[in-house]
Amino acid sequence: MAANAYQIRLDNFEGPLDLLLYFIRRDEMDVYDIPIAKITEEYLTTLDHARSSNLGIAGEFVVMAATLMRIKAKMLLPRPDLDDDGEIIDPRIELMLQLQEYTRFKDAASNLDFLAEEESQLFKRLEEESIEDEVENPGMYLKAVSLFDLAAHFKTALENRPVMKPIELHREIASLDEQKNAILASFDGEGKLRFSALINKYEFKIEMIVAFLALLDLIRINAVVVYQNELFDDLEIHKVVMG
Amino acid sequence: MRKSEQLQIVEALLFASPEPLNQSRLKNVFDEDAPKLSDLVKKLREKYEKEKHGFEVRKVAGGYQFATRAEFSPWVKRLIQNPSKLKLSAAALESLAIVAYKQPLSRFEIESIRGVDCSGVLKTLLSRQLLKIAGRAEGPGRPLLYGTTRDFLEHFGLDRLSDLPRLREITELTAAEESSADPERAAE
Repeated sequence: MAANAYQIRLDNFEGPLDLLLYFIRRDEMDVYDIPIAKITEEYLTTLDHARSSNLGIAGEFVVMAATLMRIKAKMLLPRPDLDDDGEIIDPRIELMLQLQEYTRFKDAASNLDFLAEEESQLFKRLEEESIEDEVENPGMYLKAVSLFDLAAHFKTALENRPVMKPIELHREIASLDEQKNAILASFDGEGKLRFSALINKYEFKIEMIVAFLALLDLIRINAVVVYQNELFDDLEIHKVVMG
Repeated sequence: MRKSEQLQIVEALLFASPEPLNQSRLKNVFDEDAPKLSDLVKKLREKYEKEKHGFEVRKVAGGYQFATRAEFSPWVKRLIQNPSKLKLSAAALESLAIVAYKQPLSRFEIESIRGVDCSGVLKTLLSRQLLKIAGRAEGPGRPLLYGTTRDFLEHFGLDRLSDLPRLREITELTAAEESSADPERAAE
């Protein structure tokens, strides 16, 4: 078998499709009628060689091995899959299309390589921007910042942020009705209550929030009114005496 | 301003410009009555052609720049000995080709054509500014979409994306299959 004549090194290939394409071209196989048993055998032999030489095999190569074996098995099944028109679906069709698409772009890549080579023969009157310029002129430097750079910086910032110590959370029981009653019970003999006095009683933020909501609710139902003598002054809560 | 003076100014601008000179840059220089760059370049080209200069005006990435003529590159190479041009790997070229023809597209779409993971090579191409993030796709996960940059055009000496060599149709590929296998691929 040809594959035994010389060993094929996986790392010379750009992936499983590239390797398959190599077999197809080397053995002059018909892309429209790939001999699946033959190519599967070649492929697995190559993978075995890589494995026995203790070379790591990329996951993609393993996935393709499974795909090839699945196609091979499907070809052997007596009852083929049929499409909507009752035509037999070739199990190889998907791989065939994938290989063709890959070939197009492999081809396009070598065209690009050729263009770059031609371009490198021409010398332009373009000055290399020196690094000093970029530092001295932050505007120039900013111009080169892409969304990608920003995202990278954001990621670094996230990774570098201080580690937060775990804190224990206690569920505070502070019901709105309880707080309303507590407020109503806190008025002095004249029916007045200072807002600061009310809020300072509480240790936890959630209690303050609920107390505030309770206060808003009391205002809504006209149980209390709130006065402020001067701007930024403390608020004074007056109990409304029900008529 | 006389026509001949305009021509001289544009020649000076082409000489000094750090990137291909285009009409909008010319507008900044001339304020209102900017001449039409393409007309002046045409005149310059005729002049250089007639006087047999060693350089020419090329159109690249939507602008114009001076470049040495290809026939003199062996001599220029003797002067400039360290070619700073970056050489792209096969993986980079394949990924660039896919993005160039199908942009904007997601990493998944690139990977499904190449059949391998592309995150590393895409990162390199982004940092070399040959590719850029061209937005996000609609749909699940809103993946990033990749596109080519102006540096891409300059690197490959293209004026516009439509100047890319035509992508072969699948039907044309069968003829190409006759090309023999690459023996360099196999090692002892």
